[in-house]
Amino acid sequence: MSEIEVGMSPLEKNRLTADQNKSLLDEKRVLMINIMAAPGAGKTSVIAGVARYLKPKYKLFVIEADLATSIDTDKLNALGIESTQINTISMCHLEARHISERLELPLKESMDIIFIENVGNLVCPSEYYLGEDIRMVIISATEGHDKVAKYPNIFFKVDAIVLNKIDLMKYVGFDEDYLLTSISKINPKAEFFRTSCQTGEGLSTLADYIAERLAAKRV
Amino acid sequence: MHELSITREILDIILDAAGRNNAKSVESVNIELGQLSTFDEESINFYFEILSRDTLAEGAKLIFKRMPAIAKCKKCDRDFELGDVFFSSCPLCGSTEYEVVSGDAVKVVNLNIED
Repeated sequence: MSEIEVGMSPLEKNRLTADQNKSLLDEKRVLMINIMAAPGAGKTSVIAGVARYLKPKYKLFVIEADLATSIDTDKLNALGIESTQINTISMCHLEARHISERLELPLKESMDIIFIENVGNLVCPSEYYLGEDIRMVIISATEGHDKVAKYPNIFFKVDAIVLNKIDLMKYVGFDEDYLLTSISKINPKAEFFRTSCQTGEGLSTLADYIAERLAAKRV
Repeated sequence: MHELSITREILDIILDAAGRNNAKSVESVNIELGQLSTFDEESINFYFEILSRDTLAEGAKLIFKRMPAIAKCKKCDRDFELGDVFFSSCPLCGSTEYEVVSGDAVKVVNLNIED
């Protein structure tokens, strides 16, 4: 019997594919955003909301992931936002290979910003880097203020945290201080945004942040 | 199906290392999972048993070690191992103001083979 040293991460292959995605995007100076959230937090609505501000200036593309249906891409296409649908059937998260299969079209059409709407889930998507420039988590007021405390893993390495449905905070007893204290422990460097897709509050600020990140990439 | 793909990757790493070292079989594998990793040991074992059938790694025992997350104290600036992610305090100065700095790594450390 002998011992063999290995020291390898089983996530390495995914990381290599993600790095390839990233270098393709860097070459064309395209910004990619990986949006993660629980089902119903408002991922599609936030994308559609910021698209209102970004669309006049930039070419946008959305990679949608759900277990089933093309409900979200139908919604986005109706708004004139080009998108492609991935149906993962039973898979709870996207991996870098899913994205590499869908990059040809947006790169050929010289898109400026690619949004990835990950599968609705606060656990699994956190492990898989897709080659994105911005990792974003959306939580909604109706989910409760303890989501960061209860699901710390996904918040650990994100660039931006969006609190959505802020118009409903007063109806559900949402304690924003509790949320902010949790964020200060797990990821104090994350940018924090507050949005409502019903009133439109905060969407232009979030759109500005995305535009700034694109501009920074293109310097 | 969260652990299916990670288990495939773990098996590939094991079979590759075992093959390169002319192993007859793999007895055990040491795997480290960070405290903040969302992968579950039991699910990895479940998929591993199915995926490793008729390979060199069939019957291998996976030995998991959870590695603690590390936090940096904002008061005394020293690193410490976290117990609970949110409700810990610095063991050196007692402060509850800290920032998590690491803890989600996954690694196949080594394997014991029959050669």
